[in-house]
Amino acid sequence: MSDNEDKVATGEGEEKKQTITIRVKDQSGEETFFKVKPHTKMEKIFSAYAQRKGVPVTALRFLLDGTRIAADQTPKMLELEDQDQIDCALEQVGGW
Amino acid sequence: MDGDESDIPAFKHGKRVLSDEFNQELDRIITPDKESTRKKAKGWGLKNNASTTILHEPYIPLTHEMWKESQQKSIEKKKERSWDNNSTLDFAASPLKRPFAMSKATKSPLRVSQTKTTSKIVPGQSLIKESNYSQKIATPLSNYALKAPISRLRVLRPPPPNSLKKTKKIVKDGDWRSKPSSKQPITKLFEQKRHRPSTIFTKQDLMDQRLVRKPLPMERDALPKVTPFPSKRPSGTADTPINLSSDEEIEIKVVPPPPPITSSSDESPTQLSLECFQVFVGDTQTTGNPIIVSNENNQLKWLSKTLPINNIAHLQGFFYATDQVPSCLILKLTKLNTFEPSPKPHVVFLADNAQDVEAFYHTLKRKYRRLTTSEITDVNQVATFLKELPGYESQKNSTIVSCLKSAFVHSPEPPTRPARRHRVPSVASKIILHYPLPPATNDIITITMEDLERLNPGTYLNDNLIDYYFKWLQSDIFAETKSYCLFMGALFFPALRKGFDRVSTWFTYDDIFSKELIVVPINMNLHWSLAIIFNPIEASKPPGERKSPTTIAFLDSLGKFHKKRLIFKFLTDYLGDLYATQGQGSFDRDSIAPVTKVQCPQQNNLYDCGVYMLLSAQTVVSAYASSRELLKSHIIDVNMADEMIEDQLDLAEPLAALISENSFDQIAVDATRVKMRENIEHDAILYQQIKATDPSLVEYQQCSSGEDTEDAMEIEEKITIIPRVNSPEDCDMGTDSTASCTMPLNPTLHTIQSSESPPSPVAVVVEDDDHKAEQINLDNPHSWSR
Repeated sequence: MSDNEDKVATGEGEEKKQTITIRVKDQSGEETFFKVKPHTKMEKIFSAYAQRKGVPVTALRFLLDGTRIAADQTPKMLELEDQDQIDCALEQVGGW
Repeated sequence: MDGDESDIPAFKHGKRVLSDEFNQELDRIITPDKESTRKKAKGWGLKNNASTTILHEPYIPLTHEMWKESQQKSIEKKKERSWDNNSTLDFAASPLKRPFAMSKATKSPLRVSQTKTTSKIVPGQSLIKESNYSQKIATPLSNYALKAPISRLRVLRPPPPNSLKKTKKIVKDGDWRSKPSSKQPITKLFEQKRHRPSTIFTKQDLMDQRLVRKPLPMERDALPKVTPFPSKRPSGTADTPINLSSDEEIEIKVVPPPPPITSSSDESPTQLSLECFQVFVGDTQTTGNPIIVSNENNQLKWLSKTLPINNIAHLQGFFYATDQVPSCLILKLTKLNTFEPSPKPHVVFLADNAQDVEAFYHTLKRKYRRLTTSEITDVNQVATFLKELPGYESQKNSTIVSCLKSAFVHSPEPPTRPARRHRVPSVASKIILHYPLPPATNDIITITMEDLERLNPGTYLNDNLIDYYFKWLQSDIFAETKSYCLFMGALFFPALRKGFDRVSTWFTYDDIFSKELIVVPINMNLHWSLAIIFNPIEASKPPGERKSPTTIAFLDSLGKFHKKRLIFKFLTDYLGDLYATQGQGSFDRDSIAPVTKVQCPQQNNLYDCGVYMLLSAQTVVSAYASSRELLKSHIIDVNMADEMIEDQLDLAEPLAALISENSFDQIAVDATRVKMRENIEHDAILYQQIKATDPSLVEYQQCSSGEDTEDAMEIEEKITIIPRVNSPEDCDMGTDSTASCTMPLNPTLHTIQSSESPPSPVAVVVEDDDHKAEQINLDNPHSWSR
């Protein structure tokens, strides 16, 4: 498995060094830009964003075209490209 | 100028005893050229009380034009001074002899000094009854006295450069907006302007002087400097995005080769040299005996090589040397470095004396505060780069592994990743489940302990649980409904309310219009309700071809809590807009019929609406699935949609077959909470087992794009062999790390880590260049030689 990855890594050596900019758009339409490497876990973006917003990460949902993003995914897995946009939604709670 | 003296004759008027001959003689002396002009001589002889001090003034011959001009000016000025125009005014009472002095002044180029004298405030002056006169004197006299002569000076003669500057400066200094000059304290200027000197200003002035003239007796270097990284907080805008990639570059190469040589150097904390036995520059290595690295003139020097400090992007140090693992100093170089051709831009210095390395490291750190530095405390990181070391022989592999093993025992710090652990937020430890289990890569719900607590009785459900339940339904009992039924996410409607463009990419045409049933969870005002869209495609067909109308049914466990009309409008607009962007032809929004009078179970408390909503959806979908064929043919044969909207009961009638008021009761609701909790806990165990069984699987499967359902099935089968833990207490994953570690089914698997437990000492967590955490079982040394 690691061999596989190494091959992929060497094959895309140039791409690996690149950083991509990801836009996180919140509910009010405000955009925050993150510069990340393709292999950075989204967790990093989430926590940095939540910290900026001053809310716990658990209260935020990150969506890519309506599908949820898990924290341990990476931009590469999600096939994110430069300037791609991620939606940030707030947790929805209802009881009565 | 000579204002004081010019006043004297005015007051000694009666005592003057100068003869006429003397005055004429004086006039001749003063105006030698203009003697012939009688007017002139008559105009300003000394007999008219002109001050003798005017002799000191530089004389400028008065030409006829100049005189005319000045005459004209003076007339104008006179008109301005209304008191002067008033012929009836008797100035005899004035001690100033004002009209006399002024009339003379208007004729004379030297009038400046005389007008200035009039600016004096004389006691009793304000007693003059003439209002114009008193006002003139009372208010703007200071300005008047200063400015009027200047203007005239300019007319009559070019001002000497010094005087012009001076007057300008006075005006400038007098301006309160201008900064106080250091030579002239601002308080003086304020006094001139009849301001009370402010204590604040005087204090500030003092402080300024102190700061400017006497800088603090501290060396510049001694002042704390802010390193560029913390001070430059990324703002997250397009120009300056938050850079999360930079600190990854920090973790680079650690190369600890085996043979240690003793080194000795200065014991002082500010030592500037370091003895190392080996230096790696990229792929080339140098072994010396010893190599002395010294720091001079912002350069690192060793052997014949020099490296400017500016070229160091990052400095790392490892000081926890054991007998086998030497200390090392790692420099990550910038792109523009002296070793540019080197493929791997880093330099590694190896020394076995940990204290020396540490001292050297801290010296550099202190001396070059702009240098970003970090200490490596994890022996594991050192091991990562052994294989990649260019001059490293394979036979030493095993020794290093054993070294590392012993290092685990002897290492002053446990082999954890403290820096990383810090950065990962606490939520990471709370995650108990990524719902579509690891093989899935799309739409992964992260369920945390907090979400699980929302399943306790009397608590509110959140979107995670709603989505989980619907996903679980479609993966389990409603697996067959996937082709014709779509469960929308709980976050869809809140996003739709912000505008269609927010959700325009969420679903494609096929997602929506190929379905017969679309379940939309609605969350507004802390309440969950349900909207179900039936046959969305029908509205796009011509009215005659519709088998059954597009209907949107609303199921609200609190009756009329949600405004159905609002929801209806949002949903119809969504369907119409989506069809307009992705479909062809027209979409008849008006033909969509709302069905609000659906008899669905009503909650009798104020916290179960989420579960009621879930169960309503489940009931409707299961009923629809069971009688789908029947319903498809049966559901109303309508041609005229308008009639149907008016008569909703007809539409509600077929729905009555799907759900009724007594479809489920409170007991079922409570049971659903328990069932969901059990499901989640069960899935959480599966998730942890997948992670623990083959941690690479998670990575690998997620790397492979797309969902491979066959793989997913295989894995699930594999996992079901593992006996389930039935009681929820036994599988509380989040809090107790050891509770879930008691399933020794897999012989190679000694521990099953929960996500919260720290990495066990058995597994080495390695960060390689790709930053993919891999867990390597140290019990199996072959795993090293990949």
